[in-house]
Amino acid sequence: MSKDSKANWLQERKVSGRMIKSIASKLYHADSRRNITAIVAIALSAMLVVVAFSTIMSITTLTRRNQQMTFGSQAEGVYMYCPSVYWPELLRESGYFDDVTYAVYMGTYETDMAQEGGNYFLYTDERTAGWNFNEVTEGRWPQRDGEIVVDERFVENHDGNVHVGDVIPIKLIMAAQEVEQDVVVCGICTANDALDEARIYVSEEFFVRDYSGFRLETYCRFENGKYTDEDLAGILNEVLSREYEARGLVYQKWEPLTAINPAAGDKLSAGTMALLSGLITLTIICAGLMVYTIYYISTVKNVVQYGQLKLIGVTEKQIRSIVRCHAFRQYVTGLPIGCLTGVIFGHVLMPVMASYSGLSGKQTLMLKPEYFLYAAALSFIVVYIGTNKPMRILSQTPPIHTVGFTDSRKEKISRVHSVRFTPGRFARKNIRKRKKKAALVVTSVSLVMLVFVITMNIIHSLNVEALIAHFNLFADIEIAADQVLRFMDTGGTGNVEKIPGEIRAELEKVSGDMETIYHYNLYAFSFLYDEDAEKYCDIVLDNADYQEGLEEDSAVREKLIPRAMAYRENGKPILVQQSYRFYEYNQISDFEVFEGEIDKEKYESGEYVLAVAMDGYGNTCYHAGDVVRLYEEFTEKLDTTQDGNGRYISYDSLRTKEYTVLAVVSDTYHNQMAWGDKHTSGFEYILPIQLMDSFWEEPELFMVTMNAPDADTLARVEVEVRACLERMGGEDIVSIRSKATYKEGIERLAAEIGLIGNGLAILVGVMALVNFLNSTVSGIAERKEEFSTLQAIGMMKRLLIKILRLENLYTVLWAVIPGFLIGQLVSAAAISKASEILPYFKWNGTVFPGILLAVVIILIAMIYPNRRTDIGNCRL
Amino acid sequence: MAIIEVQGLTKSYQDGEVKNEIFRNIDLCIEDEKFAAIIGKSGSGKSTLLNILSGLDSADAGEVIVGGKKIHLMKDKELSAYRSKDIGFVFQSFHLIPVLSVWENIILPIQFAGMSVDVKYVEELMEMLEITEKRNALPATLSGGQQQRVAIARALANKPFLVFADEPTGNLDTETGNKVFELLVNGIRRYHQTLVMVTHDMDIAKHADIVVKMEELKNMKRGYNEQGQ
Repeated sequence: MSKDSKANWLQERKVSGRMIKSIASKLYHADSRRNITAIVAIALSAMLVVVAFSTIMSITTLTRRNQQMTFGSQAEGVYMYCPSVYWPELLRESGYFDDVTYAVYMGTYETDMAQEGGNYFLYTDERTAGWNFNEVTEGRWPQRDGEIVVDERFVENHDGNVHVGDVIPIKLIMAAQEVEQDVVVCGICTANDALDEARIYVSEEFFVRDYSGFRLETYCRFENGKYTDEDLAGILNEVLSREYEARGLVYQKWEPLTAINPAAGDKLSAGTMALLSGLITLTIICAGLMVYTIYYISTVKNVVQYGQLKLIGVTEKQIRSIVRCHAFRQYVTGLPIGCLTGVIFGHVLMPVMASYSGLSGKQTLMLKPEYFLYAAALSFIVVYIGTNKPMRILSQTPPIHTVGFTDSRKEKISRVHSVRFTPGRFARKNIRKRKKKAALVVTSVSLVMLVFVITMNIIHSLNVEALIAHFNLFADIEIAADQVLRFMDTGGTGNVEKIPGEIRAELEKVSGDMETIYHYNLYAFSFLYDEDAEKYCDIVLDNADYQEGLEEDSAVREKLIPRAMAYRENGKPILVQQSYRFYEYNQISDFEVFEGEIDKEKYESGEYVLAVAMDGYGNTCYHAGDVVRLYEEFTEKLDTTQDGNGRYISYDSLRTKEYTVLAVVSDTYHNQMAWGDKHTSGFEYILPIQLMDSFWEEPELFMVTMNAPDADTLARVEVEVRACLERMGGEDIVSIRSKATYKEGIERLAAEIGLIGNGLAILVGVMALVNFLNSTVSGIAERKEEFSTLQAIGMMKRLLIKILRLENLYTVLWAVIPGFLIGQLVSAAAISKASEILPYFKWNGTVFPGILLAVVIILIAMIYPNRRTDIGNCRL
Repeated sequence: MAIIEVQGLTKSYQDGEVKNEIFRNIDLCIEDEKFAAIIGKSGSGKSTLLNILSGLDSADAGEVIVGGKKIHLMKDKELSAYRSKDIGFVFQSFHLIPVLSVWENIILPIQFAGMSVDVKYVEELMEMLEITEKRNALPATLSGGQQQRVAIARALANKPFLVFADEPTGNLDTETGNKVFELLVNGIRRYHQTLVMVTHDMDIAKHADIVVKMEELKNMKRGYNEQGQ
């Protein structure tokens, strides 16, 4: 190419490029309907991508944060309740971990304003405290004796009147001694919301001087996923055995409590990934289809115009440039709108989702630049999918089409059928001719049907009563300390907490119409010797039923079995916890009886007790007719001084009384054997309520349960009880749970499932409807000539509309029937499978909502498109 | 000098199992700067012949050489260049771009061809065709005659050596049609261009230098002559 011709060529290219832009601009503004629809689709896809990424990642992060807060640390692994301070050092030297630190719970504290439980003082370094959500926000870490760092809950408990530099008189209570001193607050740290603790941290100097602690926790950091709980246990045993060996000692294997931080891994779970991928795929498909159909309509409408351009010499490439230019303009308009609305919607959605998920903490919407890049990339895919084929059609349309003199658009008639004309036959033939479009509509509508049917079946199969039973809710209303109710909810066990006497007095005023039980408990420890210890060992070590129950609770198993084994090996007395409960006869008369009989007269005589079976099979150490000795008085502190025979002097000297076991009963509710548990760890006895006053130590009221005679009474009294508790100090002192609120919560859960499932169905449904309508409209636009011809040869408009309606009817029937049937089958299979794990799910399918939706879809399909498309005005 | 040379041109359409032959083995030669009118009955293949000559349609067999270029061998890109630079086309239905003004419609082929617009020439064309005042109007606001004059201006704008017209007055009343025809012929005479026009109107055909009758063209059997009969 010569220099001149090259310059000319460049000039031509430049001028041509300018012209393309100019004509593209003109043509762009001439098709506002297409532009708006495409921009909406692009914006919608960008918005959904931004919302999906930002909210899912934010919720995941918040969930992790919540998990870590409950776990208490951000460390990857933890050894809890370490018995020796040498462990951390040995673990550090082992080389298994990147870092090992520890925190020592040294004791509790009291100040003038803080004397309740949960006041712990600890020693650790500042970095470990930071891992444990106690970051110093003000001041500095304690450096010498007499300095402390307090957490925000401590400040809160002191009405906010604690500042760095303040001097506070404090009593530090340790196992061996109590120290009263004035300490200087040298710093304030954040509090862990999930742990009900008001912490203070002391200096190393104090720790070294007064080394003591009732709990040592060792935190280890390592690459996420490198170790499991079992690995951590194995590492410790390996490290300790090496140490023992080095010291020439015999090593006995430990069963340490270890845990891997559930939130330490920073990868998304497979479920979350699947959800995210599913949402994005769905978004791309639906938005891509929206863009495609509107571009297709535009193509059908404007094919002549583009053909004219080709007539005057515009090339295929230039036509493609024009369409690309349009798509680009729509993309750059839709993308920022979508991103912006995504951010706004995400900010609205985030707190709602966090609230529904029961997540606490700061709900910040995570917005990373890459989310917008993803939105840009995925919206680009939407545009590409939507415009590629219409662009190809336009660019490849021969210019001769414009002149309208060609055979290329003529249908090839392979065979002439001499069959009788019926609208139905005609409609079916038309669907067959437009297979691809019909398939798209069928797919999207059947997807809507599928999602809807599955959602409705899930909701319908949720058995509310079974789910309530899952929470061990045996009375209409239960009132107890939050911890007690939480333990009952989750099937755990824990110490009871006292309900103040004044609350009982107030509750009595409002609960007159209810059948109310006040549950009293008295804890005691006892040591088993000789025959009693043998009986205990028979149960704990030899009874298969009880062993099976213990398998579920390794923490209890690891306590009970060594004690029993220690007795058998060297006769060491066995420490057990006793629990005395006090009830009126009518409150226990319906208990399941394994042995003996609950005779009212004998029970109320004060000479008999009921022994609660140690598991759900009636296994027990003490049988009906046995004589047991129960304490009548208690020591304040556990003095474990032993005599020459190994007996515990202080406990053996306590006054006791002999009772005869009247019956062995099952008391799943009151002995904290929760749903799914098959064992208890101590002995429980039930005594008549009139004996309560005769005990040296006052039993603690730990729970109040109420049953209502009818629903109206329940509704009325529950409101009054709640108001009463609120007046008495609210949830800080005592909590309440009721069947009504649980039912409400479960119904809300069902509503949430419905909201998510039906929301998804609506989202898919809107897209499907748009596609369906666009497909119908574009079909009519494409077939204008055909309709005109049919009308010209005498077909009435009514008949033409009837044919179109039948086409739509057949199309949606192809969608709703398989969608309905597959939905029923999938949900039946999924729910049946889920019910194996979740007993409150029982297949209880419903067909009515699905049929109703099918009718609605059919009606929309038959009425709406035909009303909105003016086929009657088609003229040749 | 011949500007159009056609040899052995054959065209047929397949309609189901039936093959409809439009014409077979026709030859044609049109000289430079002449006005050739193609006449014939409906369905005789006038427009098909014009479409093949202008590169809008392809033939089943035969050679079409226009201005020395073998149209029948051209690919899409070359055909686009041929349509934008070498020829102009005037249609019965005007085929203006509705979203563009009169001026933009006229200069469109020039700019698509990547050539610079000869503003003076285009303005002169517009003046000759009496559409100067409608420079900024959109096609929809113009009468049929005015639209066809814009179409003629567009066809002549890139100074083609050959202009095709397919019944350019077919959609116009007689008076307007005559006026448009007069302007078209004046234009091609003024700029020394060749005009090939399909028409039914014998009055128009009378003004042509060459009249090609489709029936006669089809009856000139090449095979017959070659066999010496």
